[in-house]
Amino acid sequence: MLKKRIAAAALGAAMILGTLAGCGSTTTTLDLENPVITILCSQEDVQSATPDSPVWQALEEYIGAKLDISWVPASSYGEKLTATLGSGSYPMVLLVDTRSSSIIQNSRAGTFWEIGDKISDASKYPNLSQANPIILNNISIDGKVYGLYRARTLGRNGVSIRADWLKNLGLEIPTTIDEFYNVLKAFKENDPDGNGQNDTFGMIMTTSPTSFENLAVWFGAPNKYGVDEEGNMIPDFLTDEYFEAMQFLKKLYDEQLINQDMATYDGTKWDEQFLTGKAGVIIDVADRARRLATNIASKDPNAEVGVFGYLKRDANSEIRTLPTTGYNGYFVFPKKALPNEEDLEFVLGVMDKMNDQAAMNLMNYGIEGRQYEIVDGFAEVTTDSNLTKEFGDLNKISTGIVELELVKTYANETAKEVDRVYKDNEQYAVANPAEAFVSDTYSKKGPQLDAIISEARTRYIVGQIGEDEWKAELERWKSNGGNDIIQEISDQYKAINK
Amino acid sequence: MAKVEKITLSPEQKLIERKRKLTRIKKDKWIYLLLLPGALFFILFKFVPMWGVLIAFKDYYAGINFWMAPWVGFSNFTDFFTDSDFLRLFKNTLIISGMNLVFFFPLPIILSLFLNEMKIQWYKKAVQTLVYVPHFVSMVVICSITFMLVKTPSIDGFTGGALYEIMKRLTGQSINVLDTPSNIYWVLLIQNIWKETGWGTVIFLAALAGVDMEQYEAAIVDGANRWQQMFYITFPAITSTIITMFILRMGAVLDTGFEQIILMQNDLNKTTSETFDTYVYNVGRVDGNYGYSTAVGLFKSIISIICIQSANFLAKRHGQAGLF
Amino acid sequence: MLTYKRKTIGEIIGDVIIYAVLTVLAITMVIPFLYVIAASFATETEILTRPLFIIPETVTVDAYKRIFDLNDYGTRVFQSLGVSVGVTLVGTLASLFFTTTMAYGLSRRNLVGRNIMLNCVLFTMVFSGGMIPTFLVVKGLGLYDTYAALILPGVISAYNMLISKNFFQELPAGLEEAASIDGCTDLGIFVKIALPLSLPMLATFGLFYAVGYWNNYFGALLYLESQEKYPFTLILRNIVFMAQAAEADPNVELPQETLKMAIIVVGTVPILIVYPFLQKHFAAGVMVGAIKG
Repeated sequence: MLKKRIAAAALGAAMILGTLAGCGSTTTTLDLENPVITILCSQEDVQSATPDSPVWQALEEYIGAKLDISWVPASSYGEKLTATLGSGSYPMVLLVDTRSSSIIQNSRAGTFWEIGDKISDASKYPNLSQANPIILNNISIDGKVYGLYRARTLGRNGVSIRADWLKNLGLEIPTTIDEFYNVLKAFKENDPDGNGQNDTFGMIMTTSPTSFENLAVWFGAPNKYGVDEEGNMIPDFLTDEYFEAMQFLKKLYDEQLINQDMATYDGTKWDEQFLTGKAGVIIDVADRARRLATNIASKDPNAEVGVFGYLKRDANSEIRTLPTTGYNGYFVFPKKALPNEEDLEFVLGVMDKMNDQAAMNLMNYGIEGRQYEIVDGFAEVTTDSNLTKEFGDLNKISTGIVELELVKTYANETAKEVDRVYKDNEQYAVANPAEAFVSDTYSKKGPQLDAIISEARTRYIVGQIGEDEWKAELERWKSNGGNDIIQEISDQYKAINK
Repeated sequence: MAKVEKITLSPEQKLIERKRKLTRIKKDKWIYLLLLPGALFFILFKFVPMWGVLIAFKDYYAGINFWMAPWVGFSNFTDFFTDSDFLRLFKNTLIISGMNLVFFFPLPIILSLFLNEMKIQWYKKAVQTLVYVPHFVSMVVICSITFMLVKTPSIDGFTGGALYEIMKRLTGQSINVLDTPSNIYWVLLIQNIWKETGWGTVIFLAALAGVDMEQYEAAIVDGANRWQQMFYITFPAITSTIITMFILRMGAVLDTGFEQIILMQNDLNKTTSETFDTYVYNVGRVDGNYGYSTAVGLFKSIISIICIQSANFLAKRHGQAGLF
Repeated sequence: MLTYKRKTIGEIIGDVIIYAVLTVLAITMVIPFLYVIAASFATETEILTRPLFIIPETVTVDAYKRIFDLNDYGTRVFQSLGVSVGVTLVGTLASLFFTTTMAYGLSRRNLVGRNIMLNCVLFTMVFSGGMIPTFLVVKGLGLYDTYAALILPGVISAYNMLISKNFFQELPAGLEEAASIDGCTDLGIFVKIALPLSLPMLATFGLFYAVGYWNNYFGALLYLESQEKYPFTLILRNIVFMAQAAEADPNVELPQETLKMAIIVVGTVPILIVYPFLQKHFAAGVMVGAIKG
């Protein structure tokens, strides 16, 4: 017994030392003669491409390196990332899905290469040097860029609307808040579906905050943070415009132009009332319109889904849209896997080549003549899953810093419209000046503090509390850590904008 | 005198005692062999990683070298205890877990006793099989069905979910289950009952398999009616399993899980539904603040071990076998 | 065989109540699953527009066609179902071996060191080193990206082990004594007497472990790297939770609801049918009969 215990203790001690000291021993490094690039990336298609697929091989040939990709199911990517970081054996290219405290600390501690200066060199990286400075700023930490972002449209938000109802009522797509209100009222009261029954209402709201956030920006509130006269940052909910948007929603709620169960209505059921012809408006991402158009066709062949990007506060005010962050995760380059600068430059070079139109066509549509044909300037991609799986998920390792020129054939008119809305919105995007800043208080108390605001806002809209209580909740937010957050973020803002 | 006696006698006693132990250990050598695989498992996969609890005293993030991360003493703990939400989280956790203990814990036992009373074998088997099915239905599905059932009408004049309409007909008033903060406790409880009661019977039915049929025959001869049989024979046969389960349950007194709660949360019930587990999920798993979330976990562990030990002590004091 | 007394009115009423209550219960319990099955055979529009239903308006097997079509999801589905079945079978046997040997050892009340060991086990139930240290051990033992990593790190559940220890403790002590007088070693007693007498228990924990292995996605997520080793739950989660990914990314196509439901059915039915097979071991009196036989 005793012996066993001693043996066990010794074994245990050896293991601890071994595991702690041996971190990184399994990390493979780059051989520039015969380069293999290891990548950890999220998997979203069911059939990710495999190294034996012709598309994969064509891509490898084009970029001049072999690829060794570990696909991790997207729904649980965060846990795998934490374990990978904790184990110390890094891939050469690592997808980071959120800018969590852990990533921030690792960036500061020098776990990843800082690449901001490198990629600005247009002679070496003709594609990467075109990176959008706003998005680079969004992913930066203390003003330094550690990664290559996976570009996504900034102007993604938009409003889906029953265009056939508008036609029935002789209305146009609304352009101002007032017109919007009139449309909602008409959708409720003027029998837009012409069935002689009072069985419709205006807009569906859910527990998702997106609808409100868009409205607030249209009303003139900042995107998350604004700057006051003294150069301090103020969060959107402390502005008057934000409160006006709340008042507007409260009016819609009181007049039953939006669903009365908005506070508890599950976001996954958002489409339901739209598809069944009970309501005619959803404020969310514009691509929802594309999905609604596809799904409503079999239910009601006369239905038409329109989409638009923004409302103006009134006819003369400037156009404002709420942008996304512009990226969906970014790739970092751990120093342990790429110990030398030339290794890093080689990998960056490969990432640059992946932004060539030819490489992007491969990753998004496969091989021309095999997976797609070009018809009228659009890519007509096969739906044969036996062929599409050959490039499954490959576009997830594409950064798309340069825009893909070849566009997929539109499935319907709405899909085309959605792309137009994306582009249009982008010009009027209101940037969040605090996007890149890091607040230590927020990283600890953020979820709790956010909850104070969203709870109070919802309770105000549904009439459970009045303006005084709303103000009181704002004070509670400030005293529970909100003031610290404002301070921390303002300091960083002032340090940069001296 | 006494001292001298002890000094002179004690080594001998010790020697005898040690010899006795050695012979016992020798006699039980095969038993130790049986213990070996399990012991190895616990050492390798449970005790070796145990250094991880030290993270609670560090400002540690995954990827930073463990030894390089600064020691911060108890500051992760004090941050947590002084958090303005601490008491609220504690209260919510205790309510959710306490309601489960009081209302859910006895149900599998009662259901097993009833199942045991069913004498038509094929029917009993069919019922058993059906009640355990919900255990396999994902929480996502259960929650989405809950929404469908209790949904209130979107606009006056529309119809609500099936359960909403039934309650409206019975009580004459419209009940919005999801927008009253304290209702979340009952929703979580009922979902739990719905999902796990049948599954919970499995262990008790196994225990009931050990009841000697002759005891029932003897009881019938003595004129015991069915309730008396249930009370004096069936129930005592599973008491020790119940106590074991109860003691183990006490160890999970601060566990509420996070998936179900996060799925059922909305702006109107967040204050009542946020618990330690959802908090750790947000701060630790989503944000990667490993030191802080380990500290919260360690705090939970300490409470758990106190609860288990007290429950075990109480059980033993009342003449039951206890857990160990 | 004993002769039953004629039932009293009270007992008949009791019978009726029990049967009625349990029947209603069984039906309510099974409705959610019936909905999942119905939805897996329904059209997409019907799921999106119709609340809770048990019988679809239009029945279609399109979702299943896709899942089992070898050119579509089929290859991955069959491969991962194979992994799941294999890991569940091997894992359950391994778990039962590790659990019963240890539980039986610890059920000996006069064993030297027993209390220390029990306390150690209890300690691990409550305190845990956490994800990263465990990951390092798995890696250090060379188990990373092997099937063993799906089994070994959780081969004993302390919870199951402690309960089965109590089961063993309740075996009649006389049997063991008799056997040891007959010249059986402790090993012999364990294999020839204790295990056969504990069939209901083995069935119970076999079921618990099997379900645990079948549903375990987290181990697979952390410890596996090669896609072809992924068990079915990982594929299932990838499809069922795709909505979150789609929220972040307009390029992600949402999988259809019917497909989600069909995947859930395919992932649940194999483990669901284990129970009826084990059920005969739960009948009252089985164990006592074995002792006497």
